[in-house]
Amino acid sequence: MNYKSNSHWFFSKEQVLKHYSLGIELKLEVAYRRASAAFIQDVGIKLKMPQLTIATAISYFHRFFIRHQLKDHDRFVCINIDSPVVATACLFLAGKVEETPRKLDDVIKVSYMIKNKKKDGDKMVAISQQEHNNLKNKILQNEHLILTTIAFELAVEHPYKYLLEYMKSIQGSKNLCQVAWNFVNDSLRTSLCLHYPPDLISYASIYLATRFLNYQLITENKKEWWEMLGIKFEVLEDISKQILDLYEANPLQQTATIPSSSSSTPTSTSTTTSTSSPSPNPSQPQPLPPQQNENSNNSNNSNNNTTTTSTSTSSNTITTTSTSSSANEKQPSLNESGDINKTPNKSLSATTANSISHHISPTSSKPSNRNSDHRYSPYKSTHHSNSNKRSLSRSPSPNRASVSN
Amino acid sequence: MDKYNIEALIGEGTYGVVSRATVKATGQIVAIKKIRKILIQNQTDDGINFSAIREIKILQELKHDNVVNLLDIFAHKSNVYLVFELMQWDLQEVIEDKSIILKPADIKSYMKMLLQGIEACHRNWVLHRDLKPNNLLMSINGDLKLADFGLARQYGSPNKVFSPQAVTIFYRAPELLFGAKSYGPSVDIWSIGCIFAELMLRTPYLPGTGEIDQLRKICSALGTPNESNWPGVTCLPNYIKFTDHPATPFKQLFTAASDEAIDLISKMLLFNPSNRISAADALNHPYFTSGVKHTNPADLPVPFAKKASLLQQRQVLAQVQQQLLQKQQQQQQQQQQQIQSQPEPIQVDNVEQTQQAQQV
Repeated sequence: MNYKSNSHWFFSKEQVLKHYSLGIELKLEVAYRRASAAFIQDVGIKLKMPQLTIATAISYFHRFFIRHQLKDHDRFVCINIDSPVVATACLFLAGKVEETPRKLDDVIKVSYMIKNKKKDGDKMVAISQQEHNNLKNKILQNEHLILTTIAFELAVEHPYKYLLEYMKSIQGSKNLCQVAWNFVNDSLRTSLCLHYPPDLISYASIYLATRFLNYQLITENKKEWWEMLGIKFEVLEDISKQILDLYEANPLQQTATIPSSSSSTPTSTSTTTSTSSPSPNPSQPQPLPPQQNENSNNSNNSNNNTTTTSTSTSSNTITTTSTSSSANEKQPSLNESGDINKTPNKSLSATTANSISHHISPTSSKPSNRNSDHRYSPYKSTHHSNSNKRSLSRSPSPNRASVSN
Repeated sequence: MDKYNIEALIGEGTYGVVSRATVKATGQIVAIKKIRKILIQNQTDDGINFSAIREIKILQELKHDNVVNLLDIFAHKSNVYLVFELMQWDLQEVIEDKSIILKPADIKSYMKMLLQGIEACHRNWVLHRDLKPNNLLMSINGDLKLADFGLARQYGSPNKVFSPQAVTIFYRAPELLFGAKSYGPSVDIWSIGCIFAELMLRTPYLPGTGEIDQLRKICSALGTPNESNWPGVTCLPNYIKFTDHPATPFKQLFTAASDEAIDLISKMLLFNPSNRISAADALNHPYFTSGVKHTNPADLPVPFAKKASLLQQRQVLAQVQQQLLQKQQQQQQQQQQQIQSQPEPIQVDNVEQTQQAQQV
């Protein structure tokens, strides 16, 4: 596969964390990346660029800032270059690479308009000639810098291709494809493209879409569809979590997504149904219950306390367990549940019951700020606890294995 | 920039000059293409040259023995430089060198390499769009490689509009001349058909002086396109009706060619683009599987002007390779000695390294 030649663009979480910790604060970095991706998306749409071009631009942006630090390009620190300019330059370059070029003057106008729109409400700000030339200079400088930084690797593979290929092969419904497509779009706002190859991101998006729509993909030999593709479930789950993390910060999106997902997955709303009902065959992994229960539980409570649930819904199961349990059993429970999640196909009924019991009690009684701190806790836990390091260092290897499949 | 010694200017490409240079570390001779960056005050400045972007993107994806090898890209000041392996001569020089006699086996060898290269392009959804003898370069080992992807682009999306102003006019397919805005790999096959004919004739097969003249030349050689041999031709934007003209039989023109060769070229020069043979099918054509065996690339004829320098370069290359081999052997010996002297710590290191590699 093509992306193998670009494999040095995939980083472990530890490497990313190391990079982040050198620059600005983790939360800020994540927020910057999100905002910049959204900015590129907006400018791209305004310029009527296809999604593929926009995706390429965002990938350049993510790659650029794994080599450079956002701090250096922040307009407060360095006057000459700021991240919107880098973002605009990424889009301008991607336009040329994906054969959908736009005139630099137009790119500047739209970029300037959208950048200033947010500050001044809906009032449009016309760009002065001087400002225009100034930006032009900067974008051209940055284009050059981007090219060197991304080592002239202009061709980027995106999940869309794999999504469409797979949908075609299973003749999936248009709706499923659209929802999965939207999840792929959203995944661009995370740094997932630095962690996982595009095909895995596309399969995780399909997985999210099937859960969102309560859609059953036809399976053969009593295997789940991802098993047929040779993909480990924990990989899907990890990617899904990071995509879901996007919806927690913005309350508008949260209310829009989470309740509908729970309403469309009514089978497992109560803990009793999923734990008591035995799965059709014991070898089949039933990975949904832990998360689903958590989700549905939260969405049931979400009317009462909004902030708490919004963070806990998408925060990953491992950390919620660890933070919530009492201080003594913090470490053990973390490992336990982590291992459980990683091996869902063995001794199923016991493990699900176990993990569910871990998940339900804590979520409701958790302070919101703690949760938000642990949003990216897979990174943090690697850093702090040695015991967990082992299991995390193991996780990339199934990823590799599935790549070769 | 510091890695290379620039020696001499060897040509001018579509968007910059090409120089010969040596890699300081290895002594390897390379060609460096400098991409000019237009200065900022210019109103029409759109940053890095568009065709340079295309060439970089496509060559990074295409790694094939019959496609020119992009070794390195680097930026220096405000210029971007592409480093290629240095090619020795192009097919045009071979065709024009009247001291060379091209045997049928030689032509078969050229065609095989050309089709292999273009098949790799088409397999990766890349149209070359500018195939001509001038762009088919020969390496020091006699391998033919496709070069100059400045016009190449990716295809596959059916609604993408392409410019019909592609391909040097002698080798331009009739659908381009009629102004078709969506076309496929068959335009490259048409060019290959023209090159095939040129290899046998030793002069351009359809040397038109303009678009209309080119169409006239095509009609007089291959007959007139109409709805029966090319459904839909009359609907193309620039369709012009030509007076009916009978095709000249290939056998009459290519007297020395084998029946298989005639069959292959007639399938490459079909009017209807969708009936034209694909590169993959052409490689399985009886022309390549029967009759005389194709010449070994290293034994292909060398243009007279290049013979002396080629011999010299091959000798130098052999020496460099020998030196490299010796160096490697020495390093291996040293490593072995180190391993023997302290076996344990190195093993531990290795284990750690592999673990790190897995994590990455």
